[in-house]
Amino acid sequence: MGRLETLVSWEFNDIIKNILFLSGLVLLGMSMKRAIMYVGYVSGFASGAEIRLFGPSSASGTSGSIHGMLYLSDVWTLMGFLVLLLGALAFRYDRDSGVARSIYSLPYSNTEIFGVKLLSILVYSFLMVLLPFAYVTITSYASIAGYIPAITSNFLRDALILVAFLVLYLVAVATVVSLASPNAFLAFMVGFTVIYAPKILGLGSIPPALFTYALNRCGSTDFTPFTVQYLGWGIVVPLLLLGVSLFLVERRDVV
Amino acid sequence: MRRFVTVMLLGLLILTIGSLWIYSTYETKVGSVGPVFLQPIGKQGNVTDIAMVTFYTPTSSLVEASCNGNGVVEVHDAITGKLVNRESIYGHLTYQFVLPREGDYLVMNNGTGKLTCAFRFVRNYPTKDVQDAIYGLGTVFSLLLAVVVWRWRK
Repeated sequence: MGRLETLVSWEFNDIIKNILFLSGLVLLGMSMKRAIMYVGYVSGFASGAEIRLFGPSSASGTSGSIHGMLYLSDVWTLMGFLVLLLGALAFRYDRDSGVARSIYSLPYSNTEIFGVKLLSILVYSFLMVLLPFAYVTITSYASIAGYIPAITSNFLRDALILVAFLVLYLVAVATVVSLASPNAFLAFMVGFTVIYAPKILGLGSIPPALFTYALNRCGSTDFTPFTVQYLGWGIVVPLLLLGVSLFLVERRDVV
Repeated sequence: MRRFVTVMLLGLLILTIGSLWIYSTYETKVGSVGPVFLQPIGKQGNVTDIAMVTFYTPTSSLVEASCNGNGVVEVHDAITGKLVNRESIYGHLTYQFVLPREGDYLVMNNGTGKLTCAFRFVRNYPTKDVQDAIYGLGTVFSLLLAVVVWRWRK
């Protein structure tokens, strides 16, 4: 095995992180599955000389319930919770338990160790939300599977971009808070406050509410995720926070 | 990486079993739509006015409809436009029909009078395609999991 591969396989073999991933996968999947099990209806009206009544775009209920899985409040509450725990486990818990002293004294640069740990929590976080989403969509709509790309075409691309922004933001907050705080519990609690305070105070212009509202709205005609606000909170702020984290990793002693 | 792969496959396998459990509890859950008011399709010159209702059901369902008024209730598959059920109503009628698969259905009144209908979804079953997908993927996950765990032992 190569040098970095050893490090990567260590990260992905951590038992606690894997148990966390398992519970996240199952809980998110089950909440998504339950969310689509309902009977609903809308009344509509069509008027004109030539009316196109049927087609994938008429399947508004199916499209709405697939879309709805991505902005369920359960999903993002759990995600916030689990990503923060992942961050605290990857960057802080090893230092609390003393394992970090042996790892950071190995012939790896701090940046390499940081990069691998960050990669592992990014992979865990994205899989935790996207894998159940794909699984539930594919199995629940197997009879109309051929039409799913057409049904979801109006929102799926924008929604996945917003999911990426939000996950990136959560991971960046978890990383910087874990590296800055003196123990894992505090890291989790401070991170939880940073992520949930804006939601509880009803600030819709700050993540996570910014992105969950946007996830709800995407698919409408005038919506695009490529505005200053979304790119700022979804790319620039996470990169800044990760830059601060890298600085902390390089400069701060492993204690 | 082995623990990671194991846990991922195990999670998907648990989701498979969980999905089956959700379907079994949803089977007898009664959902309802309406009462909805269905106006007849109107034609003025070459302009057509259609008032309709779009259903969404996550499974194939047995629907019990109860209609009042005069008219013809038509249920179409929203994607293909295939006619699922047509029933003429004079006065009052309670009847049952089956929605063959999950997804959306358009309901309209292709008669001349006005109608009020209520629909109850009394039985909900996943279609054979859905069952095939769930059992097929479940089999794949469990076989892969078995291979991973077996190779782990060596």
